[in-house]
Amino acid sequence: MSIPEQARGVIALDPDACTSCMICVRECPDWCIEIESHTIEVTEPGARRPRSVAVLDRFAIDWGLCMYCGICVEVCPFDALFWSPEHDYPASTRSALVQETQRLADWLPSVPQR
Amino acid sequence: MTPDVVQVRAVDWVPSVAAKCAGGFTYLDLLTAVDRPADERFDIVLRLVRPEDPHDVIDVWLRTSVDRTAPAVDSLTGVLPAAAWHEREIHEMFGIDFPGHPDLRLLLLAPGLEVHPLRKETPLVARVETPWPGAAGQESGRRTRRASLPPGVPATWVREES
Repeated sequence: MSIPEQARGVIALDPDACTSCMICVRECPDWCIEIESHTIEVTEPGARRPRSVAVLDRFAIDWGLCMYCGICVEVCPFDALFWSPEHDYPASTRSALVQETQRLADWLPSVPQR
Repeated sequence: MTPDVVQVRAVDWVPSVAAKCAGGFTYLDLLTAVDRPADERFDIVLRLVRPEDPHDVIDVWLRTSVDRTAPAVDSLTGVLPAAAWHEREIHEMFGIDFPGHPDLRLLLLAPGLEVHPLRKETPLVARVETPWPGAAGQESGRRTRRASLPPGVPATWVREES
């Protein structure tokens, strides 16, 4: 049996697109997303004042809590979250169901027609 | 795809369902309720399936609305015996009464719980004990993001974090 492309298997993260805005964290009904970030001052050539830029330190999804509603994917204003049909990620402990930034980014190639 | 839902008046609820049953829609697939506090009502939703053709699912959706202050609608158990457990669950979860039901005992909940868990005003206790990840602010930065309250938690239940 084949899995349809649009299946809600896992959510992939594009860490470069994420601005740590926390919208997904706050909209998530299950509270399964955690974001940690800090800001740095960036002075671009020609700019008068330095600009504050958020740097993503940690993005984690707890698949033991997620109910696969996809609200985070929908509300993300920066197209940093995507559905992937990949669904094969069992774990033997509760904590192993929490996937961190890199693990979530590793799903990106499996996202159809991004 | 959103199904077409037939809205019927509460007084017509049992006759409408009986008519569908007589028309061959004899399989009760779903009977549940939806709390709509903004409209001061509960919706009761029913999906019936005509089981004659296993390859082509033919279904019908019926919905009725009851007032939120004294919610009650006649029980379907007379026409659909399978509705008995569903109505028991709706009764305990939403506090909706079903006159004519033979036995409205609690189905899933422990006795003594004085709330109806699926009513919107019922706080989810786990939400109070669990730190909300959305409350985490920026580590630094010139503007602090205003941590708005998480949905489902009354404002007075949340600890102030500065």
